[in-house]
Amino acid sequence: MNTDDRRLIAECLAGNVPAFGVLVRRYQDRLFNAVLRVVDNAEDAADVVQDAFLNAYQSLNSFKGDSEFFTWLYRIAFNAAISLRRKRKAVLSFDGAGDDKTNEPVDPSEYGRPGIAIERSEEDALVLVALERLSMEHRVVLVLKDMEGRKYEEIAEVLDVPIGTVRSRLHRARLELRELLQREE
Amino acid sequence: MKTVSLRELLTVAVDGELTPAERRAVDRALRESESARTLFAKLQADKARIKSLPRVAAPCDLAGNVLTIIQDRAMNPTPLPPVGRAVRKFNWSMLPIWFNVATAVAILVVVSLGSYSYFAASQNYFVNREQAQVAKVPDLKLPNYDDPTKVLEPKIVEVVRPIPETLVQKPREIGIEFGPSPRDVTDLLAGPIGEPTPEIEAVQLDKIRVSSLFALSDLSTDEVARKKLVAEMKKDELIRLDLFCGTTQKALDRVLLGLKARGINVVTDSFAADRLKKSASTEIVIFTETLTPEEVAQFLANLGAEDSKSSTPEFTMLVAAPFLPADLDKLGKLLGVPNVLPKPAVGKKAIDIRKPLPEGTANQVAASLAKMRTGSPTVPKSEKMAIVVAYAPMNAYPANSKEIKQFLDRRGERKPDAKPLMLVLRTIK
Repeated sequence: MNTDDRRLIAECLAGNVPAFGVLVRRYQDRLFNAVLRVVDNAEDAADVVQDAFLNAYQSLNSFKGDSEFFTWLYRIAFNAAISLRRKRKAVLSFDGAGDDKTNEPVDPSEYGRPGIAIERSEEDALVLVALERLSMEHRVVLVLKDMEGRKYEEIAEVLDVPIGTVRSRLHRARLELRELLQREE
Repeated sequence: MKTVSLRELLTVAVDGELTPAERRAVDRALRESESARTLFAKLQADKARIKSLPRVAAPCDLAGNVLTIIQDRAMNPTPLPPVGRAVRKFNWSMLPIWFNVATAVAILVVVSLGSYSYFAASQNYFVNREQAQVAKVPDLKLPNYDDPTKVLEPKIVEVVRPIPETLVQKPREIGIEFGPSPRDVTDLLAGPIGEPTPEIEAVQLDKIRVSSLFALSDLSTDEVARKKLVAEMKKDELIRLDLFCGTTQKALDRVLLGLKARGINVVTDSFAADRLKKSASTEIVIFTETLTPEEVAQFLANLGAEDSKSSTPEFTMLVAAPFLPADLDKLGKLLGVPNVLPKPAVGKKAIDIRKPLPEGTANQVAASLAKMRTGSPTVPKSEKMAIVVAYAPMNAYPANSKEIKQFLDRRGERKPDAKPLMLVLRTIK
């Protein structure tokens, strides 16, 4: 585990709240970016990341330091994102498929950053739409592997599944994505 | 044709997690198979495309919000529960072999003895039963062989067993029985017939409240509908109205125009304004405390009349729903305050002229007069205000909104006959 993270965590546990602010600022962008690709909505992603940090702060005592702090954070955030996504899916299927929100890969109300315009390039849009069509478990492994560059072992730790499961999920996810992109091309 | 296992190896190769043996197999496949090479290249390209997706930065206020929440809620890392004495699991392998053997033998012995006792006992039972049946066999007297002409009658020996007392039927005592006394028929017509039948309580429909529907365009012409709407609004402490429209933006513009015509200052929360500007799907709430039920009805009637005159009518139905505690909670969340409703205006207390004036009154009067003379403007304590906020999705941080703060600061006390109005604009989709 990173020595600096360890020091900051120790300070947080000693009651120094601003030290946690340093940790938040250090990891917020990476975490937000990864969660955004899972929940497809900037507001939801911001909520999930914020809740993840708050949960992490509250259960900081239970973090033993066996793994990286960020891996632990990923685990909290991805669990929250997956459950939110499932909840949303249930609500949407109850409401009917007519809701226009389902077709938006990224919420247009998102904070108006200039990056959004670049993101909407045709090439990226194709990949984003294909990613969105993947099942939740396939999408999560692809995000963790390709966007975050995590190893099988780390992904298994984040998702709390055996390494063999990660390998087979990635295999199926890649083939499914290939098929979807081929259809678009 | 690639086999499934080879395809899996190719995906693992893209992940960069092959074992040396797998790598050799993949290298061989890539050398020999054109289709394997194509698939591998495409998978690698897909990976690169995902990796090159633009990075989106987190909201800049995220860290600030996290720290604010931690401080507001006085959150602390939850202490771990004290580690209790670990309960040692019983491990059979720790026991010596002789103990296991002895236990098995003991179980066998117990089972054998139990079986033996059972069967022995059941055997005794059958023996006793047979003996009891033998006792019932008739005692036949053998014929007298000395006198063959004389045959003796068989004599049955009966075992007399005493009959339990409980089964002995005692002779029933027969007494004189009387029939029921005859009814007095004369009284039947003279007096009331027993208890009066209780009346079936009618279902009190007036106690059950349901939402009322109105066509907005009818309110200007239909006096009965308008009176009904006023009556509905007067039933609750707060008014909750849902107005269905085609487009939120256009509908809101017309509503705001109507409110401004009534001299009401409208402030729009920037979050709601932002969503409307981007034409994102949203529902809007307009909250004000300056109108009486009659004024609300008049305002809606005018709105309906104006709308029906226009070439593109926006509004359809108006629903007056009973105001529920959940609505008040929602309103609190929308405005970011626990208690939305200010204290209603209280009438001025009667002045008791017998009481002496408090000290300093003269100074206050003098100061006020001086102000009047200098012409310094007097700032009104409260204004006719309304706030527009997003209903769904709602602003996650209403406490940070300048507009909501401004509304809450400037709204002041409300008129005694005015009622808080929560008008929700909903789209029909």
